[in-house]
Amino acid sequence: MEMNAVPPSELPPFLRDILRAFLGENEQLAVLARLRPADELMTAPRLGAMKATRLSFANVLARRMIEERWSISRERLTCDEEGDGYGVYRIDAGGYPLTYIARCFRWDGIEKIGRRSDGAGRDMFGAIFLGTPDEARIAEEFAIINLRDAALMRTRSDVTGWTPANRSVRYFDHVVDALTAGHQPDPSFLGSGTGYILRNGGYLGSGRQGSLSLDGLSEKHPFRHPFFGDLFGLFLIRQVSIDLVNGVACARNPNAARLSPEIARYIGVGNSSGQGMCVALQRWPEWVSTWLCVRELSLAYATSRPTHRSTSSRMRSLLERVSNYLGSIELQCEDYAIPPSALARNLETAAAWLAPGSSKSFVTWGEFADEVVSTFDPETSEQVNSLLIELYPDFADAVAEYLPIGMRRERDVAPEMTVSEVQALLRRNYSWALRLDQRQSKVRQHFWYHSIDNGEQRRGERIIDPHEEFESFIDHIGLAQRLACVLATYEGGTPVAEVLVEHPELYYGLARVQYLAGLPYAEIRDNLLHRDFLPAHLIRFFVSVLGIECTSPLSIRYVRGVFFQGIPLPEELVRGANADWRFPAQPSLSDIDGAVA
Amino acid sequence: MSEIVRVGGWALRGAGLSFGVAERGSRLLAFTEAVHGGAVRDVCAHGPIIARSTLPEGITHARRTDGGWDLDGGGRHLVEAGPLLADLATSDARRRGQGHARLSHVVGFIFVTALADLLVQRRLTGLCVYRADEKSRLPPSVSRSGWILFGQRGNRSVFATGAANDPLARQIEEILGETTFGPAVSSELSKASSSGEGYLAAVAFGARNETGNSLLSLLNRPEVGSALRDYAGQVAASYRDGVSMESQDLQDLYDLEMRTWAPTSERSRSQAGYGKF
Repeated sequence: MEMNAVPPSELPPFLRDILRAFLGENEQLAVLARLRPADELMTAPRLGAMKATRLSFANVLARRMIEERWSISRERLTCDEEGDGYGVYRIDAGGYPLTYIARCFRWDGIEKIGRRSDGAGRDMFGAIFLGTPDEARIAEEFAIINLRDAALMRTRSDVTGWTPANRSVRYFDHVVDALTAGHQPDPSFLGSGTGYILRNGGYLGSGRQGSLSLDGLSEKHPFRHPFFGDLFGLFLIRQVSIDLVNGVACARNPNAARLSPEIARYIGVGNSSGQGMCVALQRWPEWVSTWLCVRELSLAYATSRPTHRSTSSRMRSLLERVSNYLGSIELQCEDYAIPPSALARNLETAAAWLAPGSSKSFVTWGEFADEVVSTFDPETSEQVNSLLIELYPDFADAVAEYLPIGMRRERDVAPEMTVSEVQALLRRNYSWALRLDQRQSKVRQHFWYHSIDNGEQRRGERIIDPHEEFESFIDHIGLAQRLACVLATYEGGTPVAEVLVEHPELYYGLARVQYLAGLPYAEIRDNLLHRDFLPAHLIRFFVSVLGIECTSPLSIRYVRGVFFQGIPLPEELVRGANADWRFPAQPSLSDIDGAVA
Repeated sequence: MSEIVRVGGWALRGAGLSFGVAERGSRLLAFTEAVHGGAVRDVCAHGPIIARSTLPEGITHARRTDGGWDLDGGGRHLVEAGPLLADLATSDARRRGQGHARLSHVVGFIFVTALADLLVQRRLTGLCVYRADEKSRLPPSVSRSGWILFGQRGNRSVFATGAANDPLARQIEEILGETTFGPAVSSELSKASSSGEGYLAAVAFGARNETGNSLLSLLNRPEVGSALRDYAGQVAASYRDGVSMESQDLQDLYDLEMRTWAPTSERSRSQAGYGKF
């Protein structure tokens, strides 16, 4: 392990203060020494191996919902036997009233995976209102949704976002059929589909379609936190999915069974993500830096700690729980990932290392983590890392407070900086990029563009495909190289303001190099243009940061997974629920009353 | 507001700006649309000029003997050329305490307020003086010529506007008269009172600069009240309540963005879905 992979001076002051509050000076140095160097961490395959942690946004949100006992009550949800219906939910989000409306449509016979090209043709469409709109406003919003034409649908700024969703038809129908027949669905069948019956269709908020901008919320509103609005929308989709299958079954048979709480809790929300996620990561490197600083510092803290009987027991229990969970699920495609069954076996082995009487002993968690690294694949190692963070929740939760702070960073150029000063930044932070040989065509083979057919990001090939001039920005390496070349033609003392007059297009590159200076883990050290680059790595990274479990690439550019599987139900949240809900055990029908008709 | 920032970057690329220029242009676009309205219309109206922005003949600059900068915009739009003026003024203000830059031969004067705001966001205090070209169509809230005084009080941006020949302009001239750029500003204010080719000049002072503080203190005087403009409040309201736009303008914004989209090629299509390729 390289000493001081991230110099203490580069750790953001907020995080330095937290470290200081938890540890003495020598112990702080031990933590900093465990931070992994960017060279090792910032490659796409390594990032793609990372798993959701306690610091992932969905899990941070869930903790807040549980701690503040958010109340979500269904005012009404009426539907016919095909699932065509309307629902209204009233919410108290820690003192902030919200209203959620859900418009469920009968299935149109098309299995939709959640692409933008689905437009407004979704199986469900919800809207989250700030406050308590009156019935006239609710009716107005339902009327907008009923247009089912994306070009005509526009909301107003009292709506924080729309939550489109689609049925996972096979599983939805299985649940409805079972309930209609008077018994519970088969949890193992649900588990084979990673446990969801509705899947996310892509939250439309923060100004999209006329919705409220994030900056329009009051400072303390929970949705000011990055991704909380989006993710709470997903939680609500999960709730609608549960209420909808009950409603459809009841419409078909007044004596239908209701979904048992055990199985309802086991249901999550599906998600599919494509190449646009990679573009977002390149667009917002300060987000990447923030996420990784928080994650890596928490991990370094954990691995610097001595092992103890109580933490060993907790770690063993976590490893076994996750192993059981992974052992119970099946992925549709295992070509591009370590199969869950293999992960499960590896975790079981690692758990055995911590069992009383084991031949292995570890003085610190770092030794344990190093043993995992040397024994298993990176995915297993990152899954273990995510559990190590769980061992020290107080530290991780304190560090998580940095997420909204670090992600807000003003991007502007410092025009007074001289050419020499920028060149020094380039040398210090971008040597890896400047040294990349780009002479062969395969190194710059792809460009990414917005497809007119579906509004999504697609990869084109230079020379072959048109519209290269409108490529989406992903080429941070080319940007750094171009900037370095142009700067080399100026005297060192020239302020970059003068360079910009002659090369206005360099604004973004200059600003990027300047505003990221001093931010650890900001730039992904991989070439997204390269013929052999696999987008799935970065998609998996992004969705794991959001909190998706079971990320499974269905192809090299398309990743599925599940949110919120196991999260307490609304009636449990309001009573004070168990915060340790992740990786639920698959329910057993024999333990559920009335499971069999 | 966020919608304009997000779509605006693509729309400006669709209009013809490079990625780097469009990137910061989108903030100017959103600010102007929120504060004055008509920004998207202006971009569309100047479509052929913006489309030329990537051609090699560009914007030129030269240092004047008084230490300020003269820029010839080469007929370009302020959304492209304006930030360059702001950069030169900022650079000198931060390195030397004060900076001045003058830009001529440009169009798109609806964006002058956004450029003053760019300087405020950089925590500078100063003055923009401008005269719109005769062809510019401006909304009622943007005078055809005049000045914009800008600065920060605490964390809040403050602005005042006025005509070149009003009494407040004389007070400003008096404060600036003792600085290196006093004569330049006087000449620009004088030009703003008459008609002619459009130009924009900005004088900027760094934090804790005495002249900058004097300009800021001017904003506290009671007689300035009617000249104060709460642009920061308008922007905050736009985030909170949305920006009121003509539906055609919104459509035009999206139409510009759509120019950057391309049909999915057979090659791309073959990459979708399952499989390794």
